[in-house]
Amino acid sequence: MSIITLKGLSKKYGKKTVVNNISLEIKKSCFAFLGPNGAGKTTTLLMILGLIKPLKGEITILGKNIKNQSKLVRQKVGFLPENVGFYPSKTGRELVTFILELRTKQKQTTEQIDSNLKWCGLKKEYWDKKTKSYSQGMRQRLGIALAFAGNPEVVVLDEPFSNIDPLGREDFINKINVKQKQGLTILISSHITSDIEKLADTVTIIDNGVVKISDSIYSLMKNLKYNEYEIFSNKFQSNYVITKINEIYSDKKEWFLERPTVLRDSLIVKTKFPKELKSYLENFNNFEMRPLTGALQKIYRFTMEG
Amino acid sequence: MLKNVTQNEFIKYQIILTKFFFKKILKSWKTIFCVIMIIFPVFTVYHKLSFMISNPSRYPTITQNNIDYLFFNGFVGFSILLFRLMYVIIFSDIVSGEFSNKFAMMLYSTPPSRKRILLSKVIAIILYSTALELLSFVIVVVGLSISTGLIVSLEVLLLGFLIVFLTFLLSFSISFMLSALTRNVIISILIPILYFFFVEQFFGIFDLENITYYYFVNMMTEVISNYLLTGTIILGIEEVSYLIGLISAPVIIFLITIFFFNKLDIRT
Repeated sequence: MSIITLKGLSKKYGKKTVVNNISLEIKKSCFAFLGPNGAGKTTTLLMILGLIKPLKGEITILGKNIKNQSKLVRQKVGFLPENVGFYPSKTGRELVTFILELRTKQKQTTEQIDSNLKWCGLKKEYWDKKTKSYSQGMRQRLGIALAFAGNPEVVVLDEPFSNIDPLGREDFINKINVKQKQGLTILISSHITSDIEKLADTVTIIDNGVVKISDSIYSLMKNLKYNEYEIFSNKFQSNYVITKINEIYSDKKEWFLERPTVLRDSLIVKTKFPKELKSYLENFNNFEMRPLTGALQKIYRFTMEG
Repeated sequence: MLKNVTQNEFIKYQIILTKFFFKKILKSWKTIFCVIMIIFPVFTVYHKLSFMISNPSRYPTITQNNIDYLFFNGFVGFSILLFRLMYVIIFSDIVSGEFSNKFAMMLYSTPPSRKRILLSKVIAIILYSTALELLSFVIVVVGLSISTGLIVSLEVLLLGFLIVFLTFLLSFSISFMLSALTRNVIISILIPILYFFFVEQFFGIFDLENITYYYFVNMMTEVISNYLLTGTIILGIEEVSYLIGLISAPVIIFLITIFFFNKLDIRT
């Protein structure tokens, strides 16, 4: 079942068409928009959220039409805008309380508020400080906390990692992966292909307001003849991962193009059956399978340059 | 499954938003600025009072009428002038502020509608300004009562409060409209100041001052002053229409603002 449906979506700013007849079906997954600056990614996201009105087309989220029922939709959708800012005189805690209360319509306990602040990794000594004293990275962390506050069913993230340091970025990728496994639908727009390939199940490349390509990351890899994937585990030792993959290799030899190789803490596998392998790995808790770093960048370049 | 939003939920949103915006203004520099500003009309009253006390030949006894007149013409008159400038400055960023600090997108993506968010801001500011006005009135009334042993008449107090409140409402409605529709702080400050201090004078040159808001305020002030001097209220069709104009102008501006802001493409 589609969580979000876009039908013939178009938008013009003046005479310039920024989104041109986009139609997409977004299922429960992590769905990524890739594209150069001015491609129409943010405009599409803002139309999905009902913040700007499309010139033409229809948007349905969770079975509701955004045109007539945007209030209902917004109860279940969290949003992190690009370069988010806050009221400078408000503290992180006050803002989390405010957004939580708006989403849940209930008074929040200190524990509920603290768990959101803790989740985003904002240092405790800043929770009660005014946001004007926050660094760009801290603001971004708070912005992500606000987007996920109140257990929304869909979260829209526009350039979420733009100001976060590499370790923080990795931390958030893991956290978002966990949220996604819990059943959240995540829409993400970014320029950073290395982040997207660690998160997204489906990738849509937009340029000049037109969808150039939209498919699951595995199908995109397969179509463009990329077959290298990385398997790793955040929980188990690399020895355990190697043993387990070797077992799978013995069982399902036909899936593999060659024997998996060890690369630091992970394994590199070449397969023509990524979807099958990924779903098989889901039987073993805490295994992650992602395209080999850099693959999406190649797909992106290939799509953009033709 | 999404459920329909009930009236009860709308009220909950209204309370959450109003509380948040009220606290936001209360804790900002604006409160310190406003408290300093309200000292000026208070100071004017005490200055005039000390003049009266030090001139026994002219004011052998300070009567109730003296106190009421001093309160209305000294304090209320000055408050009208000062408060409208003060409110233009402090509320110029009431909507545009979110766009300059980049919280707007996140705020307007939350469940309450834009209409409800704007309405909450209006309510929060009306509550805040009423509290400020009350504070300044209490300071003056208590001060006058301690200094002279006389209390300002209730009807003068209420009429004065009403006229200051209506003047505030107009200043705020203009600032609010400009702040919401232009999303520019500078324009939201400059245009009302230009209107109050230049355009109204300009209308006067062409004998069109009776269509300015300040003329409406003056007419109502005259009605009240006349009452203080003669003890009778003259309320003809003209005066009633000015009173209706005083009340309806800000309300119409608020409604127009909310209507157009709802349709605005907030990204542009």
